[in-house]
Amino acid sequence: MSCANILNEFLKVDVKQYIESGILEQYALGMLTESERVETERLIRQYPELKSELEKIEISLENLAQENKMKSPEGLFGKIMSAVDDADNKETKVISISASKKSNTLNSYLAIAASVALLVSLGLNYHYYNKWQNTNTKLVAEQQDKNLIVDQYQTLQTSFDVMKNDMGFMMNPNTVAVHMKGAGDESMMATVYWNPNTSETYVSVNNMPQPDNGMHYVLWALKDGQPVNIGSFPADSSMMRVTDTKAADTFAVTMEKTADVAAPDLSQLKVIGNV
Amino acid sequence: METATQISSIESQIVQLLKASDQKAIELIYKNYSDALYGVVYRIVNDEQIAEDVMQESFVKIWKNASAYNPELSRLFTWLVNICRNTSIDQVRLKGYRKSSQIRKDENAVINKASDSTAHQPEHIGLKELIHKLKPEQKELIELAYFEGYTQQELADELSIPIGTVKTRMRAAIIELRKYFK
Repeated sequence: MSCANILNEFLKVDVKQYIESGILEQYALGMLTESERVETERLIRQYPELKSELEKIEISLENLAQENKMKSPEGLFGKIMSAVDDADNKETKVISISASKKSNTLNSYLAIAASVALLVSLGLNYHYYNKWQNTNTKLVAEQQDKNLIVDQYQTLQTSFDVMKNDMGFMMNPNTVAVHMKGAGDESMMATVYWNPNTSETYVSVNNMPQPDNGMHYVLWALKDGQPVNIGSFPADSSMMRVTDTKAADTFAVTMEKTADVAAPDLSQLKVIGNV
Repeated sequence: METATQISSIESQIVQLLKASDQKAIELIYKNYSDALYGVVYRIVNDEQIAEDVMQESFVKIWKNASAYNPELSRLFTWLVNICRNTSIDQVRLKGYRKSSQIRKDENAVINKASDSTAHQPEHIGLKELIHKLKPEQKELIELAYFEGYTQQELADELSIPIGTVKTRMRAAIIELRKYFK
């Protein structure tokens, strides 16, 4: 599979299936791996439907937390504010200490001299303040540009890392690619990538139609004829991680009414392949 | 009093203050969310002193990482609570007082899987009404994921179900929750 192909697979997403896969719930709960999280964030940016679905999920979890709130301890607020203060840089402290120094009695001459100095200083302050403000505005703008570029770079870098990781997994000499061929419809095909050493298991669909309405594709790992449900997956899956598989001699996919069935409906066997 | 729009205007106010590095942001976060955050933290760490420490550490993280928050990608509360949850979970793992999955399995073998989820953590502070409206397995899933910070693989191992099933069950549970908040 070439990089370009993988990229194309990445870009093609069935929003409804993606929502139904439950990945947004995992995202809201912070349960995704780094690479899954990055991918999900990319899609949230791309598809407004995902964003609005995510918000509903977040609101229900937020309400759950609100319903189960507990009175935070007396005095915690003060501790938090001083911890936050401590975390801030020391410059502000230096300024506040020097500002709090007080002069004693004032000699009138000194007072006049000081007033003049103050006026001059105020004028200069105003001048430099303006200059500083301009520079600062420019700096902030530059900084924002830089942040934007860094953001974009990081997003690209992480997508690249995800792909590199996937490629590395596929290229690993211990990883076996099990091509599952169509059991009835011969045009169907999907591939399991399995590393028996680490148990990591991924599934990629090469060609499978959308499952019938309300049905799910379920992937089975078989060892000596004993099937284990290792997860359901959407028809457009590309390198989707499923449950780790310790032992298998065959992988197969059936179409099922629910994703968590314990035994496969063999009359709905779609693709199958031996390790 | 807290209608949805008011909450969202508070949210956007806090977001602006965070971006401007204004400590008022922390005050407002505390005022609006500390009890909800504390409820989650306390349930994970199960100790008042540790919960206080975790809250302090979390708020410092919130303050220092304010620029990392992106409103396009999550609601403010989600971001806040996940920082608190992660800090709590780190703390629990550090202290090593979270039971290992193996011990849990042995326990289950003794007390029988059919008994309810409180068996997992007898000292767990009870959650309010709503969550009890869920089916027992959904309730367990939410408790373990939200209030104990289990990963997908840990949930799959703990409940002896495939990861795909963890995802679909979690979705079903949250859809169930949504009904009660309409």
